[in-house]
Amino acid sequence: MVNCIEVRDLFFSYEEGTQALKGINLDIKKNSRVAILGPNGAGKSTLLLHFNALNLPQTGKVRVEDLEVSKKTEKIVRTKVGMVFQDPDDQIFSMTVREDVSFGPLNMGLSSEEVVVRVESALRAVRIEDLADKAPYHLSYGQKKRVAIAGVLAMRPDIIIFDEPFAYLDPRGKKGLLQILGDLSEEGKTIVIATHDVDLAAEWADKIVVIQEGKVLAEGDKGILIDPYIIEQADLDFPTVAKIFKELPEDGDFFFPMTIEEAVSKIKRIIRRNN
Amino acid sequence: MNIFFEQLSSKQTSIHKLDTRVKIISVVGFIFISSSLQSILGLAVGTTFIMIILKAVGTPFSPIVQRLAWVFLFGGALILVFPFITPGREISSWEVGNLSITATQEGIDKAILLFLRLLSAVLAVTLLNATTSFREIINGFRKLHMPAILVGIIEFTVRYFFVLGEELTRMKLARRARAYDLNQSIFNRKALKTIAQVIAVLFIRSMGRAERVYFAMLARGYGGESYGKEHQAIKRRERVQIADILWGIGFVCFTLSIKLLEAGGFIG
Repeated sequence: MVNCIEVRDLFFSYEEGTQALKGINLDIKKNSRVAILGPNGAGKSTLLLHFNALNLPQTGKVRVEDLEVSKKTEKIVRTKVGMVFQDPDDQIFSMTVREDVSFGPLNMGLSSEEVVVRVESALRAVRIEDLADKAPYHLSYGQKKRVAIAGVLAMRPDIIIFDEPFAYLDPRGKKGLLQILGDLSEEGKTIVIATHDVDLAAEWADKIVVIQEGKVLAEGDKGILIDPYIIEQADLDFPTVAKIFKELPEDGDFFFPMTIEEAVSKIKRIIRRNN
Repeated sequence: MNIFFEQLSSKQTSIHKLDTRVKIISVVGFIFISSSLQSILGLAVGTTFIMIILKAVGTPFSPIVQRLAWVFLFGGALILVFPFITPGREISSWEVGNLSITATQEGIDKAILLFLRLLSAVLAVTLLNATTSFREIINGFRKLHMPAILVGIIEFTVRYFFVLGEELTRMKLARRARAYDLNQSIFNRKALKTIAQVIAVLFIRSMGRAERVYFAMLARGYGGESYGKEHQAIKRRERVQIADILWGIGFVCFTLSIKLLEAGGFIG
């Protein structure tokens, strides 16, 4: 499969001297679901801001599709990569939901007819058509999150980045957001999320990248989430389901469940075998 | 904008239906003329005029008075200070030790005049808010070709005023949770220090938020241009109607007639 994001030897330091990234190398394939994990301050958000050209590489290279991220290409890169920020209040500022969702498409210079079509379709995708004329400050946190996602979807980017998408969401909000992420993935979008929620990563992602102190500590499928060395080094925790099965005696079945679905099927197998 | 004004502005009286641009120009004209009035009677007439219109469009007075408490506080402060610092005809005097304090009629008149100017201006803006939604006012500014940067600043101020308000409420709750007494005097040194720290933290957080908001705008392709292009072309149905113009002229002419009567020495 083709890479849509390539990062090579990326270093980045903030003005006050903090070195946030210390030589990141990473490939993200088209139409993949990637979870970037790491403790607070590991450099996840700094890395994500490079994908959207909000941070420009100081040393090293970032390629988005066929473009090298630079001052020259930043505007085109932003039409290809959408970014949903952690706090929707940082992103939503217009007087109505509809106006806010149209902000990106208007900046792209699209015709008003096209803007209307895109806004309606984005509102439909996150199921908030009924909120279109409401003022964002009257909405719940979960609804604001959906508005923020719609604002990015209306730009129709191929790659969508979410910074801590599930932070502060209630279970219903989380379920709704998971459904939206699933729909987007089915549409062929590449989804990258930064999180420290290992359960979510195990449940949802097809590629895991663990970052620690500005470097990629490990990358691979969700199997790396039960590697004690990686989990300890990155100050993470095992997925809840894995923690339960780690405490059970070995049964000769080397399959280690990490999601509820996998755990249920393993328990059924054990019951069948014992009967 | 708060729910109170949103509910009021959703009513459907003939003044609510007027063109927003006419309403903005009329209110600005009223404020401009009334703030140049020199007589208490003229200002009282102007203020009563606005209050009658407010009542006519179904605005309940008691919540308005509550919301304008700061205007009355300001007026009270003026009346407390001006009579003692304005030279003129003495109406009362007190001796405090070697100090002689004198109140003058001119000072009281000046305080009342300033208070009425402020009250009439605030009531005129309240009339605009009570009959027009904030979104329409913003669109009205755009249609009046107000610079996009100014409209943007107004929009952002209102939007983030609420966000900062929520932040302040959370900080207040957090202080209460750690047994801080919110009712203590602000002249208490500890209370003053806490308030100063809260303001400093709020300022720093606002700076951080401003940076994140700007990043979020850049992420959606913002490049400093006006994004309200759709408002630039005014459609035929959006053109100002004769009825709107007549209302606007009537509104401004009424205020102007007070000014002319005052200039002619008929009131004052």
